[in-house]
Amino acid sequence: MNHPVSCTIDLSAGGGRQVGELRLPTDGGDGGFASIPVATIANGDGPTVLVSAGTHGDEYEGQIAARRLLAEVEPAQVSGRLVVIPTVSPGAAQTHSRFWPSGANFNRSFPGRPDGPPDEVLADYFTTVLFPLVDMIVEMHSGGGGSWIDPCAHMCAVDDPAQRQAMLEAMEAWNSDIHFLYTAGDNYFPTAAQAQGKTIVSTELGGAGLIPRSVHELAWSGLTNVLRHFGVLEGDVVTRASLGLPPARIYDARGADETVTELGSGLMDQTRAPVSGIAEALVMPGETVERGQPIVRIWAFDEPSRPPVDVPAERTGLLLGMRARAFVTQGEGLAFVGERITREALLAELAATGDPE
Amino acid sequence: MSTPVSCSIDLTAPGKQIGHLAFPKITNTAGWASTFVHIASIANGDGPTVLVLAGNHGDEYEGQVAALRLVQELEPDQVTGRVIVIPRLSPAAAMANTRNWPSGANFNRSFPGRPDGPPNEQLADYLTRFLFPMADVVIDMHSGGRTAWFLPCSHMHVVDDLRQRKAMLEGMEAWCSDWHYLYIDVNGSGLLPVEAENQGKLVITTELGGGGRVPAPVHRLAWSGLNNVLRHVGVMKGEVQTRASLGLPPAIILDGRNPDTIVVSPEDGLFEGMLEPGDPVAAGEPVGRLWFFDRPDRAPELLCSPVDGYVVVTKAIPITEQGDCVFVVGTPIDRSALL
Repeated sequence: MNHPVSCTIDLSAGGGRQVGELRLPTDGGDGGFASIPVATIANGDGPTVLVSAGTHGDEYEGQIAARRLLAEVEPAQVSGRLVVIPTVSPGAAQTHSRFWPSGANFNRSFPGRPDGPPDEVLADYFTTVLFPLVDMIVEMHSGGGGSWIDPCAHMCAVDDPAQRQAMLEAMEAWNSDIHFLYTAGDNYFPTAAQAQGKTIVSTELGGAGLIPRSVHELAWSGLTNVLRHFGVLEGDVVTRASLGLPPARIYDARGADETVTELGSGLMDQTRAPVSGIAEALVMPGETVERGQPIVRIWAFDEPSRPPVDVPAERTGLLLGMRARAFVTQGEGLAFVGERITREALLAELAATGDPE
Repeated sequence: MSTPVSCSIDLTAPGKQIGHLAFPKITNTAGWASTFVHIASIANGDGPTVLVLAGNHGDEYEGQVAALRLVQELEPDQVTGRVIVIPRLSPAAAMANTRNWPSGANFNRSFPGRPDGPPNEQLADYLTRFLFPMADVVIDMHSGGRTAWFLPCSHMHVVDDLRQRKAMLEGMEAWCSDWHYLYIDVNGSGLLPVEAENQGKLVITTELGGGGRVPAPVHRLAWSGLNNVLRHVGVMKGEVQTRASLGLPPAIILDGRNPDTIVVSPEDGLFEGMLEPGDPVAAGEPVGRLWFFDRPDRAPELLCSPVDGYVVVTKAIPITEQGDCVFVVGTPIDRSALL
């Protein structure tokens, strides 16, 4: 059966560089489609790696790094195939929005349906066409317009031990100062890829509107090093040790009961705003906090005579991310803290639960 | 001439009062409705009257937090004269995280205003005809908002009256920021500071960072600068600090009066900053580059500085339209040259 999404280039064949587009039928019933640029850079034998960014439109760090990859990598530097989608959600990126203009959150559209709304049709194309073509996936996120996350590569702690180890090693190849573990829901992009056994590296490259040069540098150095680690891009793999850096610290921000909420806030739901108002950051992502320590002060918006309300950290650990937009409404996710975990403990978890592997 | 704006507190009375300005709200969900803009007065004895304003643009929260804190913490016994605080001039814009009012009005292009104009002009007119005349000093705190990443600083117009210019320079310097900036109006008229300047007031303005997040050091600069300026103008008790007394090197004043230093995008695209606010830059050196949104095969275009100087602003939201300001460069100027 032909998929409703068509691609103007052959993603699985052809050497050299190809640039084309995915054509996603729009809802109008007028035969129109949304155009999603896609490119391949291929040369000889080796793994096929999907590089995607802009799943959330307002997360531009990875979108710029993916464009730079297309501008700077020549086929001769590749062993295998790169499939690059620099902006998965163009309609959202063009409007500086996390979600599609329809309101769809593309990172909640998986595994998708070929007969669903456009976001689910595209998700289904990823799940049934793109993911089976590739061996590994790099999916770049950031805090976007609304939140601010300590820049890093992160991962879901999958249950398959070999896959978990491969994902851990690939995450570490980003060489960020920290990493964290999070819990994804069944309808997330990474969950659908992981279910097919893929090694997926995901990131949270800062966020909150402004992008410091250091974040562009981390996006680029991490992306290219992960591609070298996968063997698809030529050059020596660098490690934090070879760069003279101390080992990365890994933090555990998985949901306590292994579930995630249905709120759009996602990661930030660990700490919720008790009142509406203007949030003043008292500490910044990347700083250590003690459970109970005030991390955000909310100033009363509609009554300046009322004193501000301090919001405490829910855990002791590293403040990984916080809401960046100053005006917050009651119940909105504000911040999340991760507790330190060693890589050995992360790998030993599966043995401890009596997994036959 | 009357005004549709009323004030719930007596601005001539001593002590601490917190209330609101009210003016007609045009809405489909309530008749006879009013928009409230909060106002506080902290007064004690003789001394200057200082108007502290923030939230002129809704998505510029740095000054709003500092002003809300001032309302909470400043007590009459710390004051000599009168401090009038409006923590957010544009409440609906602040709630919507936007620069402009929901009507599309830019409050900082609404001056001098008209009592029979739309609501933004009614409020502007009230400031022009009632609040500015009672003030000696007007402090209007801005930042880059969510769209621009501004070097955190206090800044000023270079007014023609030399005595006013000197007082404004000294007021700007009392913020004790690492940088100051001399700005011009490139995008229309009707600015709040211009109206206050035309009335001869000592006007002190800021650009406290911006770009969608507020680091804790910027909150500290907003608070320390505001307090020190209030001490400098003599309305708040306590020792005035200088950068020298704080053990800091002199601030760098950057001149932005050359319109060519405000660089706009030649095309639509994704802007990547290659330099950051505060970085030195040479004429012809790239400050950023433009990636093409729907043409990933197209090489990026370098966007280069027209002059030697320092980067003052970069665009914070990468998605860029032709004609958007992508960066601003300032050239250092000595304070003595300014006077």
